[in-house]
Amino acid sequence: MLELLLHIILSAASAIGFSLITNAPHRAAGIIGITGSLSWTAFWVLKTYAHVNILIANMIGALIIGLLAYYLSRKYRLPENIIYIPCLVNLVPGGNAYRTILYMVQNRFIDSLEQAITTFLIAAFLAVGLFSAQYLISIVRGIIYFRKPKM
Amino acid sequence: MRKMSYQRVSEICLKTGYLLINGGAESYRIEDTISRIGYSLGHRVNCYVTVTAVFIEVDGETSKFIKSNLGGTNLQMIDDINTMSRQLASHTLSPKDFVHEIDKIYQDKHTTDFPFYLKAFGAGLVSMAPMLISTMPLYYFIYCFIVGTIGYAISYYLSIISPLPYVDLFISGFTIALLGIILKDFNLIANYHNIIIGAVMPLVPGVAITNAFRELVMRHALSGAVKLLDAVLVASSIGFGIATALIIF
Repeated sequence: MLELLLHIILSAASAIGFSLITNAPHRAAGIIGITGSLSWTAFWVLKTYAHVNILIANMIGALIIGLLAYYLSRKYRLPENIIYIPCLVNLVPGGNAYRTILYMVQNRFIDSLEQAITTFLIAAFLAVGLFSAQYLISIVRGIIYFRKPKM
Repeated sequence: MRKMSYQRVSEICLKTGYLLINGGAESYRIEDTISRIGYSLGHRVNCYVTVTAVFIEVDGETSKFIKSNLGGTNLQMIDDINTMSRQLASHTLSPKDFVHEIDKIYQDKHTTDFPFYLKAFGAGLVSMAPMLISTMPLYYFIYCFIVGTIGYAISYYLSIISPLPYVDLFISGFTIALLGIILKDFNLIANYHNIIIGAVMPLVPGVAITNAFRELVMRHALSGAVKLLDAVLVASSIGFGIATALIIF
């Protein structure tokens, strides 16, 4: 339970920290903190307690970011970009990328290749998650749009 | 309402495009914003945006282009211009004031910016990455914070001093790995891998990766591919900096 609290706080802090680096507007800080911490916590709970495959967990994290960013950016009149960028930094596969370099230095090329492929797959599934968020939104909007004239 | 001359409109649209590219917006959003601004000013504007250039045609009469450079991030600028174009479309901001504001931002080349100490503090917060919680004792996060702040400060000042890209990231990656190894030598930590993973996080090309994927998905293949290549180059220059330190020491 304490660990969960720690995860929530640290992920919010790190998303807000990245928004400071990229000079995001002041009024977006709270939104970014909430989105970043929700997406990371969902990813971590799925990975640790539900034992979901790490790729699927990453995808669901990115999906949550996409849906929340769509909703919150319409509500608070911000560009979606501002919410996307700082929240994704938690999910970036930094550990795998580091191990790719580490094994390369230690002449363990097979392990290095394995880590490189894992890094690429995680990044690709993050993109899949973001894209499926956009796709879901466009489908829902399309259904609403087509049903209106008939009424 | 008296319409503005098309030279003036093309000038304003070019400046807006330049500022948005420098702020790190996606190219399809820039095209969208520019044509909306042209529409609110009473002209039909065609535009084409690649990674480093904006091409514009107003009313079929004039066509111009402006060149920009890759890199640089200022999300505040995107938000400001977005808000202004929305106000222009809903007639709460007059075209004259809009032109004046854009000219002012274009002259100063920056909007409100966070001071450096706040950015360094943010870099420290990013370094305490939540993915490391279960892999190391909690007091290690203090070292992560310090090393991450130093690494970010080095890359920040080097990028101001020298215009050459990628070298500043190489050097800061090298310094981060070196600091991790020094901490290990003083027996402050058991192994330096987690410290390095955390401290590198602020240097990750987050903006480039996110924009590249979003542009590739929207079929803006040209700018998406170039931004993806840039992101890979940035990531590998950090990686080779770390590798150099690990090989030497």
